[in-house]
Order: sequence, then structure tokens, then C-alpha cells
Amino acid sequence: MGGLQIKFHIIAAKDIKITLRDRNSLLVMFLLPMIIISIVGLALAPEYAEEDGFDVLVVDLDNGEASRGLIEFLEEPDNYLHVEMESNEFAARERVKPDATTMVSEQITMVVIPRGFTEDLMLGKDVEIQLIVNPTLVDQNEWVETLLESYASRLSTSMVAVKTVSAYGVPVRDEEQISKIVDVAGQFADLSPVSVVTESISPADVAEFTIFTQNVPGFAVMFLLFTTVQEGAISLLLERDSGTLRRLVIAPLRKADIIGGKITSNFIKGFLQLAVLLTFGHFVFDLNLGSDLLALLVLMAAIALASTGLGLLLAMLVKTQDQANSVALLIVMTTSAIGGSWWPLFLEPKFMQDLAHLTITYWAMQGFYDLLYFDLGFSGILTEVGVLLLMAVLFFIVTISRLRFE
Amino acid sequence: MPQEISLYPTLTARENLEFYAKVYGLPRKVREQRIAKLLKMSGLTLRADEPLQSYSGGMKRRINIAVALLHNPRILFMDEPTAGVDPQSRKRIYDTILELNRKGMTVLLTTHQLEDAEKLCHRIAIVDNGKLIALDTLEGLMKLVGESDIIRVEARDIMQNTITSLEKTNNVQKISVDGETMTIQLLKGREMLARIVDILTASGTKVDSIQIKEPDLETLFLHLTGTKLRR
Repeated sequence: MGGLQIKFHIIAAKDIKITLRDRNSLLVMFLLPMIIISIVGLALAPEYAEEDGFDVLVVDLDNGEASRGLIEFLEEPDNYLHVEMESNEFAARERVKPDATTMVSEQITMVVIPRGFTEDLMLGKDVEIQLIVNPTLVDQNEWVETLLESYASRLSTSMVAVKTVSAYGVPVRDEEQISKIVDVAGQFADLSPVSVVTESISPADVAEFTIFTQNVPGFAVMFLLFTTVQEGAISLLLERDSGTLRRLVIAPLRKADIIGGKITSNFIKGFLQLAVLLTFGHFVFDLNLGSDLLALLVLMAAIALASTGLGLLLAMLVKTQDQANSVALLIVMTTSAIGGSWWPLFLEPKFMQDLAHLTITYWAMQGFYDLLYFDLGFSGILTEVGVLLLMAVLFFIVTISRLRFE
Repeated sequence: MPQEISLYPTLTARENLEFYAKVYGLPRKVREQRIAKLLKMSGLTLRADEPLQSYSGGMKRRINIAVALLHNPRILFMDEPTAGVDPQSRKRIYDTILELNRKGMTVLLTTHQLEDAEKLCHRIAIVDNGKLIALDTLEGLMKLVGESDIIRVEARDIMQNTITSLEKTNNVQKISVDGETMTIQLLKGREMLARIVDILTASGTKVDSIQIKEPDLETLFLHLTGTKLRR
């Protein structure tokens, strides 16, 4: 009856068939992660989107030449502001202020040009431009404040020029003369002898980083762990508890066939799950899959193998299906959080980033960043794939050493 | 064949049989023929493509047996094949076992159903607390019991003094009490019945029923172990 034939594929095919019949399993493997990816992605997409400009309300109480100059500056295209004029200062303040209970607001900042702005400037007096902000709009406030300070600096330069000229005894008689001095000073200021040049460096051309660059692979890896670690462990324990494992052990099967079948079926399920979810991310949310698809497949295989190994190891360490459930949940949720499934790793404190190196999730996510964002190709993921394969080998060695079919 | 239904509930009967047939290395043609034959033997051909979880307990047990027969074993170990099974399925299982045996298969049956053992088995082994205490044909075993009969009494409040009185009665060989059931092994049961009833009445025992039986395996078990069979 061919007792030495390789038969692990029979066990694997049976397990896959059972999974395909299990609607609940398919829901958790595919539909649920797609829903989570979509909800989280759509909710956070605006946070990751490139800004097309901030909204600014301007209350011009001066209506003079200097205030018009300021408004024109704010409206320059390079300053990325949508300027709206508002005559009623009180109404403008109400629009800026966030709601006391919800903290929801119009996402708008306010600039108040005081009465007498132009005249005071001409007379060389100190003037104040008021910036009214919603404290929750940190980036926006900083941007507008920086712009105003740069404009104020230019104005100050011009006024310093007038005062300097006057201090050297050159009579400054009328507004026309002041205006000429200010214009000349402004021209010198615009030439800007000291400037800053920015250079962006990267090992390769990077793709656009959207929320989906993070959450598609992030949630795909998390739900893969549910499939291969939780369901994988439970599958073996269920065979034991139902008596089918005993039937397999007394059949003309090697133990390697039984374990090999389990490894193969869990690996295939995990790999397919990753493939479907990444494909979903690509076609529905335009996730960039990088230019090296073969490297991506290799990475996916390494992740699926490592997590399959962890699932089998878990089955060896626990006694009951309930224990497998609880421990798997703990492992999956903890490693997903620490390892970077839920948020980019750089947001975590250093000690957590270091701890993350112990998780499958960390190496999986680093690999995905290297391929999907940095597009580094196969050479860029050698370390990640190597570590994941090493994890798989370690898990399998410990599993086999503890394997007892009684 | 294990006592549990060691099959995959979400697969159909046919799929379960195919899986194990492949595990046993049966070539495809042999597989198909044997599965068809076993489904027919089990009376489940028409439902072969339904998932096992839709089957009754008896139907599952029939497929459980069918799987055990896939590779034509020369010796078949069956652990409680009719446990928890409806009468129709039970009869079918009996018939299957007898048919297999007629065709030359040795069947080793483990059961608590003494009537199954009496009906089906050429030789019977009695095991008590893990020890083999008797092994013979039914006729050979019954000789150990001799002419003993069994009187089974269902009664409430069976008192120790009642038991003591009965034990002292002539012809009474052994008594065992299990809750509200008292089993008395004795000689000349029919003649002694009236005397037993008198003792029970005199002791104030509230008797619900009395039954007299010819010696059977249960009698033998009581005779050999001094206790009623633990089911």
C-alpha cells in the first residue's frame, strides 16, 4: 500500500478543502481585513495627504498700503494659503475657535491687521500683526506663523533702513521719501545674500507614502498571523481532540507526512491571504507594489513560513484549543502593536523599536517598506528574508523536538 | 475503528472515504470501486455527497466503519461500534459485522452491550479493571455460571438488613446493589421467587418491579466479579 510514498500533500489538500468550506474562516481571512483596511485607510487618508494649502481668515482693520502688501504676500501661490477676507473680527474669531466639547473646528487660522498699521509703519513706530489660532492645528499654525514672521522680518528690515538713514542725519521729510527708502531696503532684502538650499537624499526613488502603504501590509500581516498562528495551532489540536490524528498515526503515514501536510496547508493559506490582500490594496487603493514582484513573492513566502512555524510551535506548547485561542490572541495583538502593523515603527520609543526586532511583524513590515516604498528590490530585503527564514527554521526545530504522537 | 467518530464533519462521506483511501495508498480505480461498495454496504450511497455534520449518529458510525474497511484489513478492531446508535443503524452494523466475518475477516469487538457480544461473538473475553478474567465461547463461559438465575429487583430504600436477610437465604449466591436496583444471583430462581418477595415485604422494602432472567453474560459477570457491569 505504498507506506514509503510521500503523502503530505494529501493532508494539505484535505486541510485546504476544509478551510474553503468554512465560511467563518474565509470571512476572517479575507473580508474582515479588507473592511478594516478600507475603514482605517479612508479615515486617516487626509492626515497623510499632501496639503494643497491652509485656510486663513484675514481681518484688515487698516485698509492701508502696508496691509494690502501683507495680504498680497499671503496670497502668493508659493505660500500655500487660501486667503479669505472677513470684516467682522468677532465672527472670524468664532470660526477659528474649536467647539468646547467636540474640539471640532473649521480648520482655519486668523490674521488681524490692526488699525493704523500703515501709518505706524511710516512713522517708524512698532506694530503688531495678530495671529489667532486653533491650538489643535499644529502644522497649520506653525506654517502661517513662519510666513508672518518672514514678512515681518522684511518689513522690519525696511524700517531699520529708514531709522538708520534718519539717525545719520539725513532728513526724512515726507511719506514719499520714506516709501522710496522702504522700497530700496526691500529690494536689498529680496536679494537675500544668505540663503538656504535643501537637498533630499535617498538610496532610490521613493514612491508616494500614503496611509495604505502602512495599513495594507500592516493589517495583512496581522490577519495572516491570525490564520497561521491561531487557526494553525487549533487545527492540529482539533485533529487530536476529534480522534482523526490517532487515525492518521495508525495509518501507513510517516509523522513527517502529517506535520508536513499541516505546514504545507498553513503556508499556502497564509501566502494566498497575503497575495489577495495586497492585490486588493493595489487595485482598490492604488497601493504601489514596487517594481520587483518576484522579491515581493519571496518576502511573502518567508513571512508565511515563519508564521506557520510559530503556529505549529504553539500547538506543541499548549494543551487545549481554548489555550491556543487565548495565547494566539495575545501573541498576535502584542506583536502587531509593537512590530509596526498598526503604526509606523518610528512613532514608538526606542526601547519598543528594539523589542520589535523579536517579532515576525517587524521583519515583515521592514521588508514591505523596502519593497513598496523604497523599491529596493530583492537585494534590499535579504536581511528581512534571512531573519524570517531563520525564525521559521528555529520554530520547526523546537516543534519537531517536542512532537509526540501518543 | 475508534469509538469516536474520527472523521471530518465538513467533508462529505465520499470525501472522507477518498481522503483515507488516498492515505492508505489505494490506486484510483480500486479507490472508486471500494468506496462505491462501502457506501452501498452502509446504505448511504444516496447521501454520500452531503457533509457528515448533517448525518445522524448512526449514519456517522456507519461511515466510521466504512473508513476502517477501506484497506481490507484481515483483522478489524471495533471499539463500541453501536454506542449511542439508533436501532435501525444498530441492526445494520450487526449485519455488517456478521457479513465481514462470514467473508473471513477477524473482528475484535469491544463493547459494554452484552447482548451484542452474545449475538455476534464466537469467543468472548471478559475484562474487569484492566484484567482479563475469562475467555471462552459463550457456551463455555455459561458453564461457569452453572444453573444460576438472576432476579432483578427495582426498589426504593434498600436497607442493609434486607440485603443481609437475603444473603442468608438458601440458594442465594451473590447480591449486588446499584442505587435502586438489586441484582440477586441464585439457584432455582423460579422456585425461590416467592421467598424473595416475602423477605422484601417483611423488611418494608417498597418494590417497584421484580424480574427473573435466565443466566446470561450479565449473570456471568456478576458471578465472576461480584459486581454489576459498569456501563
